[in-house]
Amino acid sequence: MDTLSAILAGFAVALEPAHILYCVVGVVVGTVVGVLPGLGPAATIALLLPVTYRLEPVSAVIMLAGIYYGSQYGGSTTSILVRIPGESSSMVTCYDGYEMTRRGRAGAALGMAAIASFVAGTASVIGLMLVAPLLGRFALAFGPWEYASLMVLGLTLVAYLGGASLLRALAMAVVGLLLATVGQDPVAGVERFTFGAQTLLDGIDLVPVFMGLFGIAEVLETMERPPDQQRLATPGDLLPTRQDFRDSLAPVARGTVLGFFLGVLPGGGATVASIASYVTEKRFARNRDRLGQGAIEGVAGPEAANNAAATGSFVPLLTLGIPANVVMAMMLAALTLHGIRPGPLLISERPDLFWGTITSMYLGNVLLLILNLPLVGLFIQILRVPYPILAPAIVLFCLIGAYSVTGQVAEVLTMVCFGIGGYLLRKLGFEAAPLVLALILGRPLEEALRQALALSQGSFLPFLTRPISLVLLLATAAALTTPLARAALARPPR
Amino acid sequence: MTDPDLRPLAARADLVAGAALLLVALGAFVTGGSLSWGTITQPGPGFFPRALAVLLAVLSLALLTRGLRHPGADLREQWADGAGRRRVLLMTATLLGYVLLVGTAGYLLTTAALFVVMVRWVGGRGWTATLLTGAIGSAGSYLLFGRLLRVELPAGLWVP
Amino acid sequence: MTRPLRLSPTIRLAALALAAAALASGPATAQDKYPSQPVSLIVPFNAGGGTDLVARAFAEALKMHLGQAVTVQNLPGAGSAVGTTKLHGSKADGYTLGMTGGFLVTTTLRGQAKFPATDFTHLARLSLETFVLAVPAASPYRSLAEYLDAARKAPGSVSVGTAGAGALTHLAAAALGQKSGARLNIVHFAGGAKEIAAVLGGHAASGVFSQVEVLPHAVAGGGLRVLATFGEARSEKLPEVPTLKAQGIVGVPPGPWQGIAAPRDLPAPQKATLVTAITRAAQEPSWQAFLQQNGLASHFLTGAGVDGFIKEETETLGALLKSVDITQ
Repeated sequence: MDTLSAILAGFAVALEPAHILYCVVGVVVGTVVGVLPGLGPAATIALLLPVTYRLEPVSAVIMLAGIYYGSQYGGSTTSILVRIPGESSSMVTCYDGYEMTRRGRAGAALGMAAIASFVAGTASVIGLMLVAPLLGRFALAFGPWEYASLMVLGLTLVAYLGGASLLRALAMAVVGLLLATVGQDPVAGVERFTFGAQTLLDGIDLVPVFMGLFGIAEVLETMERPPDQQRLATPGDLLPTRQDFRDSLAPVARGTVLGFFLGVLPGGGATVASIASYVTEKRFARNRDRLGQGAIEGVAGPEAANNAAATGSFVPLLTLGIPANVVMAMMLAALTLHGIRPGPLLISERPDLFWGTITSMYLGNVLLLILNLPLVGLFIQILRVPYPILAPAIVLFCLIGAYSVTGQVAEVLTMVCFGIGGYLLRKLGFEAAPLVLALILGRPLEEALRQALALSQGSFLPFLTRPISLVLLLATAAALTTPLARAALARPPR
Repeated sequence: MTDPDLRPLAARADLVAGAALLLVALGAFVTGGSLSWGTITQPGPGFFPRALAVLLAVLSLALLTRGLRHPGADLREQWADGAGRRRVLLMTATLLGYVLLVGTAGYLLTTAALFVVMVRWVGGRGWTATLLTGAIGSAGSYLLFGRLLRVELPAGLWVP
Repeated sequence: MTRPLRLSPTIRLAALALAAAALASGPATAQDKYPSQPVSLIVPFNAGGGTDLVARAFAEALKMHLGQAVTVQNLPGAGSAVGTTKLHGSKADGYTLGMTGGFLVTTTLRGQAKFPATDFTHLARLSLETFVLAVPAASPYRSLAEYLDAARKAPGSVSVGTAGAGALTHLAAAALGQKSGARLNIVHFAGGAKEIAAVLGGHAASGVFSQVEVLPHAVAGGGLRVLATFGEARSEKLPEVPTLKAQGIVGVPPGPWQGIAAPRDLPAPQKATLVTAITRAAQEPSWQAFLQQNGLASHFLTGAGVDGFIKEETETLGALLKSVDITQ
């Protein structure tokens, strides 16, 4: 069966009424959990997984997939409207998205986020169809050495996230890396900084930290202003302008490619992809000086990247049976309970499942665009809700989101502590984004580095002799030269 | 992104943050003391934490130096006015209270209380709006998460 | 002769009321007909893990024979310590059960849970799986003998992956080296998925896996070659692969297992009801099909059999944990 007829057969599977229904359910649920701050796709799928055990496997996977890529559409909504990201992968969308809202351009930002997501989602589904098996082998070429080098390259993004001061960004990044060492160490299983608390054994979860630093801290900061001045923005116009589209073309293309490849590799995923895209735009976009002041590129690029990454992360699961992240691990479980063990033979043994799932993503992306564009008009009405009424709802979603991570109140406490800490950091003029990025990368970096050294029996040489690793390290050096040189030349802030 | 109008205060902030981070670094170094270093070629569990602690100490000293060499304006200007500060403090206390009470008093009662405090006292809304949002917020979210999505919310004193 | 006991009418009435109240309250109704309400089954891992799958498949079979719903409750955290601690502290009324497995033994031995693994009412062992030793398909090692020879010739040169420090695969890998006299370079990965990717990519020379993980790759043209299975007998799924025992290596943990337990001191009537229902459920075709599909052997044990098994497991794994340096 050649690829074309396989794709057509896949469409036949995806267009069965039951499968369309589950696709719709998936993308609607995905949009909702994406929009709600705190509640992410991982927690939602964990809650819904038992339900899918009763479905036939193709329906189950179509629905779970819809939740995952659907959540990447909605994640930017609250970033743009109230500067609280719905998902960690929409963290950087806050910067320019919210600035656009303040300038009365919320509709344009939301619309462009949906369109960028659609373009990236669709393009990466095509990528998935054409080169999935090839990419699976590419992912296997990444051993611990390559991962360690990739994580180091990822950490250089910190240098561009710190606002005015490189020194402060570095300090925040080191705090993030230090927080990542809490819990059982990834290699020897020794407890570090747990102080005997059972909750800390698994380390500090990203969700409560991130919801605290961005959600709770933002609410606290807004509370400083009198209630009638807490809402600064007005709904404004609805759609992106022609100029917006022209400006977004290149960022969306760059974000899609970047996101797709980063999504294929385990570890970083959608969040790192969106940050990488934002930094790329900050360096290369035509209007790079306007980034951070409400530039459409700062919305279009990251939102394309996180969607492409979500699609890309299906590659290792569908071609190798290896889950790239928690969501994919749960998808694997849904299949396993039906007696399907994805592996290299999935394409030939269960073409209905493989092609049916992939083609359903086409459908899902179209549905999401149809769903999300009209929602823009509805969502910007949120800006009319008085903040004193909106704030408790936001806080509540954050509380439940943190709680649903493991079902322990300790997670909520973690979130509140990071909320207070995040507020104090804001007052001192420190950016939280470097801390979040370092917290994400810290554990995989230490893990990969120690595995690499164990495998090469203590030799650092493979980092330089393995081609992919070498390229990544050279890129790191290149990425570091500019900000360091700039910092050395620039005068310290007064 | 740093607001341009906050820049003049940056130096004093460097002093405060530098001192706080230095304490964190020292704490991490001392607490991590019992973990084995390993060697540079076979790093043990203590290698990363302590190397990071040293790095953080260096960075916080740099922040302190920068803060001392360029003394800026008074940090107090950066804080909100009296009423704003009271709202922030009340909000902080409410959040901590929520965490403390939700286990024993249960989700519904604690959440209703959260809405009441936030809408009435932090938000300065009337009692009608307060009670309405409190009832809708706590009951609605309970139905959505506790019933529909089956999140095991803390039951506490009262569950329907 | 003693005087006949004479109580005032008031006291008699009060005593009667008390007795009635005692009859009407909790224990009496619970004993009335167990089970009279849904039973919850604690899984100390996230939904979607291996233990969760076994639990959900068995819960389906069990509810048919218990006459009550069996609801799976995921309580992940601290390895498995959060969930097992919860089970340990629950009321022994037969309405709270939990999944057990090799994790229970290692977690308790390592002191992350503050009670011994025997401190439960163990009801049954449901399934047993075999570990396998797998190498990349392009590996120079065609047999276990070649593999071990290479490791003996250049100690520490052959790397073997595990699914994490302190995990059962770690103990199995360490025991393999110890019992065969070969010094293996043990490298820990965060979970089986990352481990298998490293072996498939040829970054680690070998790995110890659960059989179900390697099955899609251990086929003609697949990415892995299985050198040995760790179970007593040859695996039905990999019949051509010899066992460790057949190659003269004994004392290596044979593989992960899953069981079901209640808090300790479960009253005899509840225990009898549960054991009967569990034994019948283990014969259910749907459960048997699940075992078959996932290459799990049943090896159903209950009563004294499972108690003996837990005790033995605690002793062997305890000795092994002491002899391998867990921090390596």
